[in-house]
Amino acid sequence: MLTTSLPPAELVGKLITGLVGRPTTVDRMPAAALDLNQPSTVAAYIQDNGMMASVIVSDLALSASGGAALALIPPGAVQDAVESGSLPDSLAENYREIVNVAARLFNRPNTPHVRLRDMHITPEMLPADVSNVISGATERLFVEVQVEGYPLGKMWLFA
Amino acid sequence: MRILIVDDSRVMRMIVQRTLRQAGFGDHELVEAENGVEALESIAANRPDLVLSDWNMPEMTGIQLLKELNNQGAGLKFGFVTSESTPEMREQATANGALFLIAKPFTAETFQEAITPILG
Repeated sequence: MLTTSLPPAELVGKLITGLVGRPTTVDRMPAAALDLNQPSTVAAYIQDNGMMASVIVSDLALSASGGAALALIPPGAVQDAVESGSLPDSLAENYREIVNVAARLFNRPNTPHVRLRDMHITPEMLPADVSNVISGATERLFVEVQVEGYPLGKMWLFA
Repeated sequence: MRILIVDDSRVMRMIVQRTLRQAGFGDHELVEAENGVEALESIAANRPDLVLSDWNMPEMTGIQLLKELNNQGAGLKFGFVTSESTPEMREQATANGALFLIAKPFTAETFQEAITPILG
């Protein structure tokens, strides 16, 4: 059975750079604890048959930074979001554009087509199938993401 | 000249506008619509020289918009700017008369290559 596989870290950086128009470096990091009680975005990707394929979790700093950089909103808005511990709707809406396009990270010529189903914002409860991908993933990638000029953020990819 | 940008995402419409300016098309009038239905209303009111449309939108998708324009015999220049580009999408776009399909993320150079031959 064909399955979804995770992209190399550098492709994540290339995609975000292309979208926000600012150099973005992505570095693999050792397995870092994921606390879904903290505010973060959780992008759920599915195959065309509706089956869950993969998940991208982005912490508040990355979600806010990506959302701000995409719309040329100054970094101060990200600092405000991090300090308040919540992601403003406008930044969430913008970051959703990034995770939408990020579906292409999972699409290869010989694997099932994958698209974004939803982007959830924790600490809201996640659908069971999304939680199952996170807990039962056979592939995991943890990266630190630095959008130039914006706070450092973290991303976890699961498939 | 008028370019109509059709996308349900406000930030993507802004990015397309920005990239058009970076590509040298900033002296054209850039107008926006949130979906295919709004695009048809905009086109009926003021005919654009080029339509740049997203693929997936509520109310009416980009391909539905293109098909409707074909049904009307509008004869408009039309291109897609989309989140993904599968071979099937490109085939469908071309079969319905789209002049190009640009996948996100895109660059000013990509826009120049696709649009300059059309608008000059």
